[in-house]
Amino acid sequence: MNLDEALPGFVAESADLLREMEAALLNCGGGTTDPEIINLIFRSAHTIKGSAGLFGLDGIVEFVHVMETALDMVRLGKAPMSEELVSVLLRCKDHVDALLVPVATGGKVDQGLESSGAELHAELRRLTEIDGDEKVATKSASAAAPRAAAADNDWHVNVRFGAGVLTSGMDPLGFVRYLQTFCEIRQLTVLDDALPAPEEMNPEVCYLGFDMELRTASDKQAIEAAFEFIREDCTLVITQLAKAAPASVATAVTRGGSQTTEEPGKRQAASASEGAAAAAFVRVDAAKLDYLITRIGELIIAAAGANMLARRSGNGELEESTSTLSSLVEQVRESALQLRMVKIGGTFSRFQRTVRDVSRELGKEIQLVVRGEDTELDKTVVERIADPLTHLVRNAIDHGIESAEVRAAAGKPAVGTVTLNAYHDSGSIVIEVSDDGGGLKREKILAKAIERGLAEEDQSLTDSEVFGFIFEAGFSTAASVTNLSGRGVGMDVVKRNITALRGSVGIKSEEGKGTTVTVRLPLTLAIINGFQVAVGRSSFVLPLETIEECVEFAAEEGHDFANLRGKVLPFIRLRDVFATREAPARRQSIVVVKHAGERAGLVVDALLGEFQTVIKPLSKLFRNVDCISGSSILGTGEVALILDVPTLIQQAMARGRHNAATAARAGV
Amino acid sequence: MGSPVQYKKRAVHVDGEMTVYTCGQLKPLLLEQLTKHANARDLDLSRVVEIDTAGLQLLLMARRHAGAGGRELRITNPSRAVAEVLELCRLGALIAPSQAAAGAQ
Amino acid sequence: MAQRVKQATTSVAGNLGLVAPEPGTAEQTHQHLTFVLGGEVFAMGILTIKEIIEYADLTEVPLTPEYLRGVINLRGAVVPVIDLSIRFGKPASPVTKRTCIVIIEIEASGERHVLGVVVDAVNAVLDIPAADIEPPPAFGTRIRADFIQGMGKVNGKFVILLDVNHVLAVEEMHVLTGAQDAAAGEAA
Repeated sequence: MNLDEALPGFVAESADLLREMEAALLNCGGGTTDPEIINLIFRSAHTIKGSAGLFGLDGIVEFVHVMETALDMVRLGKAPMSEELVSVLLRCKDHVDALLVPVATGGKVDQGLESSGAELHAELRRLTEIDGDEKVATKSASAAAPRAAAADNDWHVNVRFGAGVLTSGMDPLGFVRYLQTFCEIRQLTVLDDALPAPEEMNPEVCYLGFDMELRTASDKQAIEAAFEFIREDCTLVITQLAKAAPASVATAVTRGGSQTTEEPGKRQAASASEGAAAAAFVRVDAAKLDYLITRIGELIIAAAGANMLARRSGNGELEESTSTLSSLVEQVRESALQLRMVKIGGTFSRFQRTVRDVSRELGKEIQLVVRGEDTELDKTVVERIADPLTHLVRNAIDHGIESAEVRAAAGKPAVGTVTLNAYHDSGSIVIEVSDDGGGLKREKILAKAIERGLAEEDQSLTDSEVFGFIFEAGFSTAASVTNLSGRGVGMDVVKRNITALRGSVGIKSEEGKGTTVTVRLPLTLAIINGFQVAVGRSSFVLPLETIEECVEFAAEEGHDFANLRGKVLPFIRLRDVFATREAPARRQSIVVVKHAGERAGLVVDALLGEFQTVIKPLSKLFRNVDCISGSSILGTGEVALILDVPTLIQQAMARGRHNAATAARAGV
Repeated sequence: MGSPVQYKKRAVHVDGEMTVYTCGQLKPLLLEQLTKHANARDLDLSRVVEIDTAGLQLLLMARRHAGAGGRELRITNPSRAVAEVLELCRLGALIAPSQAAAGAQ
Repeated sequence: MAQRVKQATTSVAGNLGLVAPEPGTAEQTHQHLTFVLGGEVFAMGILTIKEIIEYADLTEVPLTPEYLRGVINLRGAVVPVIDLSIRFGKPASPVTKRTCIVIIEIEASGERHVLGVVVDAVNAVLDIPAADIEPPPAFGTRIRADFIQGMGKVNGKFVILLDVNHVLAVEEMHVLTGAQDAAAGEAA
């Protein structure tokens, strides 16, 4: 393997591990003795060190080694995971992040980084060694205590190691030693039956296994975790022995399927399938995945083309076979996109750190509540949503949540709450950032909007329209006016970033109660279900999920609205928007679209039907063309433009406001 | 200093590390000495500074080799490192009886 | 990609009955593609040219300046097409059988941009040695001075060598797109 080629993989993997480490550190909050969390942190450091060693990144190996040593002390119960140590480890994590930058960019490590590294090392040593002696006694006493407790369970552990374990630098005996830190090894047999005849034995291949009986207060997961480093390179069977406390049986049942009552053969099978599940993840280069999805996009276009030709040929068999093909292509598309779906939880957990840091900086006490972490969305969207979300979270902490005194005066709990929530809603993912702070001050925002010429004095505006002004460029920089003014970047940048992802952002707020910013994003940026319409000679695509229905065009005399089953439906004439030159079709249609609660009609010349299509980015040259969010390729190979429904509606509403104001003034 | 595996005073002596790094080298030497001195029953491990799973495996192999020739190989003078591993693995029985107490301390 | 340049130029040269220069042997920087635009012959260096394709139906993008003719599907990529005649302030030429789209790749502010330019016809790939290239005149060419890289002497006649990076300055054109758009917005 070419190491240079693998280097980006290392950087990505390390970044992931560091994120995990950070989450675990934030999770353990000092004073923890939970072996799972400590192990996770240790494992991250250990893996980074190991991989860095492969690439000859001595600086990283050296730095992480000291972290690992410190963590090992904690793991073995020789040093406490104090609040202070957590803070130092968090800084160490940042330091490794910084060390990775030159690796990724090919730059050099600067001197300042080296000296700060040495400082961190000194602190780690101080916290895990000097303190070590006095703490050992209490610690090992407390570690020993649960062993005697009644909650102890007995476990039978049978482990056989893969042939390559030794050469990959692992020492199976080390795992046994580690088990001793939280288990009493009541019995152990070295399994040497696989050892070949001396002449045939390769001394670097591992032939051994262990059969053990353990007594411990920890659960099965903890025992499993001891073998985590070689999980994919060993056969591990853990079974609980008969003498079991009821509570533990319950956990065994919920977590890994009960293994207490079945016969041994079944246990083996269950555990083997667990092992398979653990090994069933493959790390894939994201670029390869992107390539696959691009190719599938081409496939969809090609299939649509073949379909069209088949229909035109009038050959029934051909039509049938192309339609089978199309449905297969659709399934492939679904599963390919699924490959790139990731849970948003990873992004959310990053904000624990943001909240911790920012709230400390500001001296506010704030808790972060996270909901819907399992909601999935496309990796490409996740990557690009982190920045806008960070901004929203910071805003919520900085300007949303009031100081403790103000909160106390208002009778609110002293600890402020910022909530992140995610859920799926009709083809989109919705992410909400809410706070229980002071809320937005409607009157002040409105006054500012009028001053800036964004609104008219006598205009009646809904709350969401008023609050929407804070997303206007330059609006949020005036800190005194709104509770949500930005730091450095304004809310307009947040909005622009989200719009660039074909998303939208809305805001709800109640003075004194709090604010909720709602970000709505497409699940994927790659492929949409489209509905094709024609205006003049041009054809446009509307995302199918925005369409409610299509009706025949009929306007109320002299107005730009229609009567849709007794309700007023304002509409937008696309031929006006796009200054279409050709004469309108004899029978026009209205496509009823809905976005974020607003319903509107789009007047088009012809409805061309549904189809699935790949979104192709438009050149930067068209960056400033509003109303068009991208392009796609039709079955014929022609390019069709995708309409930006939210912008179309917003522009129409802005024009409506303008006209209303003009009319009002004319009336005076 | 010569070979890390030597025969003297009716015992086969191993010197230095018995780890995955050295086992490739030790294995043929150990087999050679055990074959050559078919009467040797003692494996002196007093100078083994480090032993890991690979080393343990080598010990088990040596015992099996000797066992095939009809003799039981015993470990004498285990160093601290060896004693620790044998104790961990409940293999204290491999140590020659008179030696067991000395090694365990 | 370099491969494609060679292929493209080879096929163009082949169509024109010319022998394509051996890749790598000739001084590539001296090679220029000559083409016709509004009856006048221009040339551009072949290094930025990816390929030359036949003119096919393109999709117009509304609310853009006239010289942005639209977009085409180039093997799955959506590529903007620019009408050089209009960019030079001349009327658009009618589409004929010889009308081509020259696909060009340029770099602007660190990003790669692939663009197509409509020309009335392509002529040949010519070797124009540096000695035969004069600096652009201060005036008298009827197109913007910064669009001209130099004046190449071909068969005793001057041919305008275009400075592709200026002619297709993405930043400038995108600003214009915005301006046009804003104007349209106000009008509406």
